[in-house]
Amino acid sequence: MVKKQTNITELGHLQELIEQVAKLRDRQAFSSLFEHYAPLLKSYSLARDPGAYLVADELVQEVLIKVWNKAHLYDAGKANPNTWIFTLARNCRIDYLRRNGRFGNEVTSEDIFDHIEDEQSGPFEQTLQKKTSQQVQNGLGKLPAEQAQVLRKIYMEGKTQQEAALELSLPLGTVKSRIRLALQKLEIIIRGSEK
Amino acid sequence: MMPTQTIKYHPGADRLTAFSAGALPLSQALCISAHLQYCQQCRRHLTTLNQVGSQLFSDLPPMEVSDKLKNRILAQLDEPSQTKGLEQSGDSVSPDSSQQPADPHKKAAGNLPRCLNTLIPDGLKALPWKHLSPSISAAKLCNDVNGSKVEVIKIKPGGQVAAHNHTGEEITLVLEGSFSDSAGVYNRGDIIFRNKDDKHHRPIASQDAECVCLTSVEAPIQFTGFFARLFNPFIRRSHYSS
Repeated sequence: MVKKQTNITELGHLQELIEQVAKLRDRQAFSSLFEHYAPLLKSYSLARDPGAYLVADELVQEVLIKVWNKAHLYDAGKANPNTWIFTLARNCRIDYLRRNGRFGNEVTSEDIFDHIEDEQSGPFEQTLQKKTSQQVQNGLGKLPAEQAQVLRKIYMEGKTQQEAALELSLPLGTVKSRIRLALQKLEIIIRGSEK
Repeated sequence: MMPTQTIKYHPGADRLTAFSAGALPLSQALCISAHLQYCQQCRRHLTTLNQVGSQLFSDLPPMEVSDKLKNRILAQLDEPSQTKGLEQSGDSVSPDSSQQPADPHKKAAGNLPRCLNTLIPDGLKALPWKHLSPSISAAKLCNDVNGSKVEVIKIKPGGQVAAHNHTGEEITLVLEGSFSDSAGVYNRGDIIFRNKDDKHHRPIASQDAECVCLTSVEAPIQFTGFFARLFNPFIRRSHYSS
């Protein structure tokens, strides 16, 4: 398994593929998207449920069908292709868990995420987004292992902070502070503090 | 666009991170989502946090996928049910068609955040309100599997909630009006978090208007006044019965 470094050129190519699926219903382009994303989506699902291969295949299928059906809604000004696919995968995971009784049943991922007021999208936002993406990519590689580990538990394994604390045998406060420290290192300044 | 200027109370960095990761209980995520619709600052943070998820996602070790799965997916692209939404929208190039609500600014009636559309389809008035006291009513929206209860609470102008402690975490988001407690004044869009370490939380609605809040309570609250304490068993029962 060779680990690929996502670069700007590759993101540009993925973006073109999504646009071809949207405009031309291009199955070849879709096939290329499958080749790129299916192995990552499978990995994402297995990160939460190791050994659950059927569940993983189901997630791959659900997300990629969404890519086919929603390609025309993709807006490069708002999210790069990886971010778009990640959010689709996250939402599919939530709805899968919801259907299987791990979450409250009345509320869908669409209620939670899709209705959030859209931000402006344009050349300026796209430039800013690329800059942030680069900053996050560079920063993640330099994070202390213990901070990266907590971020992976939350984002990829879908653990709550309590679950992460339990698994790592850490106090909850330490998990919270590792998240905050990681964000600071990534130069993500979040001003909100809970009162 | 909803008003953003008066928002002072936000979710913390770690909570917004968990939201972005999809790792919050749905009852909490609903309150955060409602806050986001009022708060541009947090929406920007979310966009950045999604990029953290995106990068961690693209750094995952790729796993081999079978051709069988690929063929199964390719075969599904032809099924009419899968493309219906697209055909209905006509021009497939249009960036914001079929999947979006007909009116992008449609709210759940009045000025409610759109994440409440499903739970409050016909506006606040149509909810099954129950009086808890002369000045307070509540309407249950849903239970989360973790035992949390999501409710809308309505406090009359100047009305006061009995002093109480929390046995679990309580999240409150102001939907209309404002209220205050010993720690501050909260207006529309403000979100506050209280847990068992916060003693004698005693909210009062402002004098000039009714205050409506979305709340998610992890476990029943405990009233701390002598007479109120007598009612505690009933409070607990109603939390779990409905």
